[in-house]
Amino acid sequence: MNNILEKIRAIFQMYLQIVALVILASAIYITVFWGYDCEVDGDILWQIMGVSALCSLCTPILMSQKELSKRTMLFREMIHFLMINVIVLFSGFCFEWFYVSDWKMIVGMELTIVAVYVGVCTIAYRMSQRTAEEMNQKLKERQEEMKDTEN
Amino acid sequence: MKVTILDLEPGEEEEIIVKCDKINDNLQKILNSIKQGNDKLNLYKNGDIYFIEPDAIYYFESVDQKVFAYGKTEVYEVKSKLYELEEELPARDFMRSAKSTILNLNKIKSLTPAFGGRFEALLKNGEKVIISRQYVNVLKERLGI
Repeated sequence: MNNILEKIRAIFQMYLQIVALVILASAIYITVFWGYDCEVDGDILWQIMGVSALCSLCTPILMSQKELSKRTMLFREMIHFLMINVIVLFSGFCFEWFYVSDWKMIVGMELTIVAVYVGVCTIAYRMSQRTAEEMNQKLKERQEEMKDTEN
Repeated sequence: MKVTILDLEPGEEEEIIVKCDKINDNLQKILNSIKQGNDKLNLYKNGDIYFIEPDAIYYFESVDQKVFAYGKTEVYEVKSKLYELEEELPARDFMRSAKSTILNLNKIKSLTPAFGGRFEALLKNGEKVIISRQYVNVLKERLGI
């Protein structure tokens, strides 16, 4: 049960991060490829939220109950990245975010995917770093406490 | 195995007599623990037995069905299984950090994030041990986070 809750929490956390970064990336993408004065429909927001939800649903591939080797983790990370690419490019094609005939737009789309992916990974790493700092502090306190007890 | 406890005659010294065909591993463990008490670990190296305080061990690792205890610079073999050690070792100081590793929390110098939600523990002897994602929450709980 705890494991399921943990997964749901991780997916939701990932979803919020993706939505935030995709909105930022979309603003840049739209400005570059569709112009600053481009008018967008309200449904783009629902599209962003829908696609972000689909992408975050891929998160469990990175979470395993089994202990994974570094190689397997890397392999899963690659599969995850590919899945995100397929989801975003297919959605982009369906929602006409880019023209298939315009290679610059496709490259721009791919760069946007990479930027968001790297951004999400960076946030996750920063959060882990903060956890590590917190644990290091607690370890230090614990070891000092033990020294005091020994003395 | 039959266990018989007899009352001492006045003036008689306490004594343990073991009646057996041969000393097997189980019996050896029992004898070691009687000889040394429960606080020390019976570790093996080059055919010799060493009785060592658990706190001198940095981590235990299971490799190819064998369990090894890593001290500051030395490596010993342990006859117990990892799950048995987990029960024997002081719970305050030791925790399972991966499927094949038990780590001494007092020997961790620092922790850093590693790939895939894992953490890497840099030990005071300079060695690095991975803490699996599954055990990170256990570690947090142990540290009161």
